[in-house]
Amino acid sequence: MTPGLLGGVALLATLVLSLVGLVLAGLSWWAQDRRYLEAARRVAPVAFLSALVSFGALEWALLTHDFSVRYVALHHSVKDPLWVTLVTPWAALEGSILLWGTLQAMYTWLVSRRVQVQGSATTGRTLLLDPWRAPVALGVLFATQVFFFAVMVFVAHPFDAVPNPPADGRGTNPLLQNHWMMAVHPVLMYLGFVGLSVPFAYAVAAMVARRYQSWIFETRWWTLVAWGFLTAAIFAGKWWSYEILGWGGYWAWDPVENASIIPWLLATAFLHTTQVQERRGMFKPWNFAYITLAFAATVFGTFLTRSGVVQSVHAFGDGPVGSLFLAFLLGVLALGLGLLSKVSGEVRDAGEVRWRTREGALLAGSLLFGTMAFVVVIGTVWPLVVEALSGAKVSIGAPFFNQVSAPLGVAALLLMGVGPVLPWRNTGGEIRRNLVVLGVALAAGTAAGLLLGLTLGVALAVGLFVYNLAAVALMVGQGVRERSRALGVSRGRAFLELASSSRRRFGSHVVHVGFALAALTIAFSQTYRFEESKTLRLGESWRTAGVEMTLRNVGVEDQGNRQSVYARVEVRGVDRRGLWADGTYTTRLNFYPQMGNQGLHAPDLKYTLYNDYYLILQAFDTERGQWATLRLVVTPLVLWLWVAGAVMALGTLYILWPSPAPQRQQAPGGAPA
Amino acid sequence: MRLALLLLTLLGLALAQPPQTTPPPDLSPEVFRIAKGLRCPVCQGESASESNSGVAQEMRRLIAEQLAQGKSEAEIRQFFVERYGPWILYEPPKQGLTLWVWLSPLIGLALLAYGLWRYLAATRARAVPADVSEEEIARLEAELHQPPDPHRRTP
Amino acid sequence: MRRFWPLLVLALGGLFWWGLQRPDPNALPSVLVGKPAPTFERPLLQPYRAEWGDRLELGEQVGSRPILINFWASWCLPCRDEAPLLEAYWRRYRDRLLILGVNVQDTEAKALEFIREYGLSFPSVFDPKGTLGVDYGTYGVPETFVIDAEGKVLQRHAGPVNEAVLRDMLRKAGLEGL
Repeated sequence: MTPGLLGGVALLATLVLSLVGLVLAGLSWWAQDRRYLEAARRVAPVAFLSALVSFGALEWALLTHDFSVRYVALHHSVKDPLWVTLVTPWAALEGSILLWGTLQAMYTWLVSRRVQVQGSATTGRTLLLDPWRAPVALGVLFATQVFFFAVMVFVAHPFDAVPNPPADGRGTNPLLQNHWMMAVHPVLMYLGFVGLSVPFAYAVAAMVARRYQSWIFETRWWTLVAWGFLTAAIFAGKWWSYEILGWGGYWAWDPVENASIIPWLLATAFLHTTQVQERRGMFKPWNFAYITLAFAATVFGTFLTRSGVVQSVHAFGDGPVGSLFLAFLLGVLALGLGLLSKVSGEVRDAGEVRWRTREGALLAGSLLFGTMAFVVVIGTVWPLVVEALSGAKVSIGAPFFNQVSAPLGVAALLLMGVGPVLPWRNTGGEIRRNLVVLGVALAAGTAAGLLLGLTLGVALAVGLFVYNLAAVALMVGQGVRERSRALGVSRGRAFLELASSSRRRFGSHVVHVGFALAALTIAFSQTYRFEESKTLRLGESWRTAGVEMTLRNVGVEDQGNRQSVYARVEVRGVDRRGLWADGTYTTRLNFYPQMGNQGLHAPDLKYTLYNDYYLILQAFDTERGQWATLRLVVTPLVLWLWVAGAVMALGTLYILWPSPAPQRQQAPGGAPA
Repeated sequence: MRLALLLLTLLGLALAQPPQTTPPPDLSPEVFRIAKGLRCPVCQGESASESNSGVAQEMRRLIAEQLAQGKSEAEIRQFFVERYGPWILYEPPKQGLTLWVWLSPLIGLALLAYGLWRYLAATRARAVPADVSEEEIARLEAELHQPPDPHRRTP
Repeated sequence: MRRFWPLLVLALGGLFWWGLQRPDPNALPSVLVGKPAPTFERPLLQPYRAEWGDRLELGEQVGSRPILINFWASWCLPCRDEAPLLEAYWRRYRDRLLILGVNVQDTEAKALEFIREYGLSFPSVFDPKGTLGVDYGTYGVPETFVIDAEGKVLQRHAGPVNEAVLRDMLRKAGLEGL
């Protein structure tokens, strides 16, 4: 038994099992026979196991350097370090699809555990999937799985054999080897992408079975999980891009980056409008539309990456896979929107929404996120539209996206602060005091920023940050006061009790604070980024941006799988801008044999509480090592961007963390989120 | 020197990038700012500020040179547009087909807001019957059956 | 939306389908086509100085015959594929057309080595910084431009030329029956 054989067989078995699951789910729906449903439910774990075996086979092939497998020969080398070998399955197309398919099989299995086959009595567990919707939901998930495994079996086979196995392979893409974050980022991304397939499957089932309300509660957990992974993935991607791509930025609005933010924006919109449906039974058709678009956007992203249809640093152009993903994308859109157009006449929501209420703010917020998603989609595909219509080539890049996203971001931050303060349904005079406090916080923060000499935009970002903190403080403070008064406990205890009893509410506060912090850091780092480059001879000093840099040494190290050219630079802060900059920096250019003489930057950077000092080796004296060209990038607050990402992820985790059953009841002061 | 030898053996003939012979010129923050708005022609997805390809380095050098000659940012952009076409600009012109991109936030917001407004109008219309106060129902009934049916009034 | 969504989905699908059918999505049309070729004066590489002088000015060459300008560098791998073809055409048709090489972003020693290796006899000018590449709006090497007898750019080809491409380019320049 070779890994290639085992993997190939397991892959085929997974495809067949997924097809069987799909057919069984279909039969149980057509024949309304629960025995088929029971069988489909039992197929899911077997399919997952089989997918896991094929994934394991790929790892096995990599770990044993089995170069008779084409994927291993192309993307692995005996010189690769162990951790690189372990993450190589998602370093290229075939392995990525295998990871994606395997995760999909896992989620299908998790959903299948919720399927309730016998009887209609709900046994206290409210999240069971009833036998009317279960066949459809499972069918959608199995169909997705069939797609991924069919793509692998017929087009992008991870276990294709090489007729004459080489003695050593080409090695993993050096960009991946350069930073451990790349080991994490794709997995998080796929977990997020796949996670959205579950609410989508439930939504389709809801439309087919005409049970429009309950899926929202049932998929709340799934949506949050997916959203949390997407958020973490986006921040991980930014982190990687900042530390590795060697230009000292974290977001370039490249089409493929855009493709990752579109599902996030739509999922964010969806997450907020579901609350309106949960609470008021309204907005049902919009939620169907949002989840369809969000799931379609995950496929859209892969289509963009893999087809090379738009120009991008990340576009790979892998032949027919692009067209298949296009077909799948159109299929998802047709299924979701087609069903929606059939049922939307029947979903007769009723109720009045006033704008100055919680639901008003939630709807307005979803409008902003929807608009932003629209803008990013248009901005990403418009070069193609222009080319189709006029034949001309145009570029739409960072300057455009930065300009249009700023006002939308400001509006979103304004709503984010005030929304949770507003009550549901009707706003009386009682919150006027709170609104005044928020207005004062906004004005004071902005004024303080202006007094400190910040630009108007950054000062406004400061104001909005203070305003959002004030909003959270107001809400938490009010709840704590009410509770401590009602139960006669101390404020501290009231706070702890509230925080543990209304997790959803407190978690969302944490996420909101994280988002406000992220916005603040983005405003600072985009506005006050400084960048300059200069060639230094050995021993020469360069004074700029508050630091003095002295080039001490230029040399080269043989690191096995790469040659690493380094420049050692001594940095000393000379004024306030250079505070905390002191240290010896070793900035590198790594040369990998598979990339010729195109070096990959491994910049050295020092995070501090305010400025980051980021030193890039641009060029060096190849003949005698007498000079090096350095690029210095000084960016404020990037460290806090990672903190913000962690805060958002932890806030999501806090909401999701399983808690003992009785805390579902509302405690005094803990208004439902 | 060892460095040179190593690189020579390492790079051999499999070259994809021009070799560095003389140090590149020093670049001011202004150069990077302008380069950020220009697309690197080789890499297709990076700006001339980020990329380290030969063309991008030459573009940065040209920008520095032209700045030193006292040319304005607009003139420098124009210099590159004449050679590469508007494709080289990362900020699409606010005219012709790309004007629509600039309008996309307004269009998107307007479309969504219109949809939301229509939706809310429909739900409000459906909500009206339920919202009619009991007093009103009683009054209408009173008008219909004078005198009102006493059985209907029992709680 | 209820009635129009199929149109939207179809439009999106059609757009992407069209996008996938393009032979080369990254191809960039040159803005120079139809315009006078940017003129330049550059030092020739050493082997050509005896015949062509120390420096070559493009303007002086325009007029009698079409000119094929080929941007190349020793570090560029595809350039190695097309060099023998260009040399063969130059030997055969040097009385009817001028092939002019522009060596960009290279060192003189490496360039000379390349010329020796492929026995290139058509003249090449030396442009170590690659300024001419920017002037011609190239986005890589190799790239080939055809200039007609009036000095106008007729066509640009990005990437290595093969025989069919080369014939086609020369036909556009009015050189039939090559």
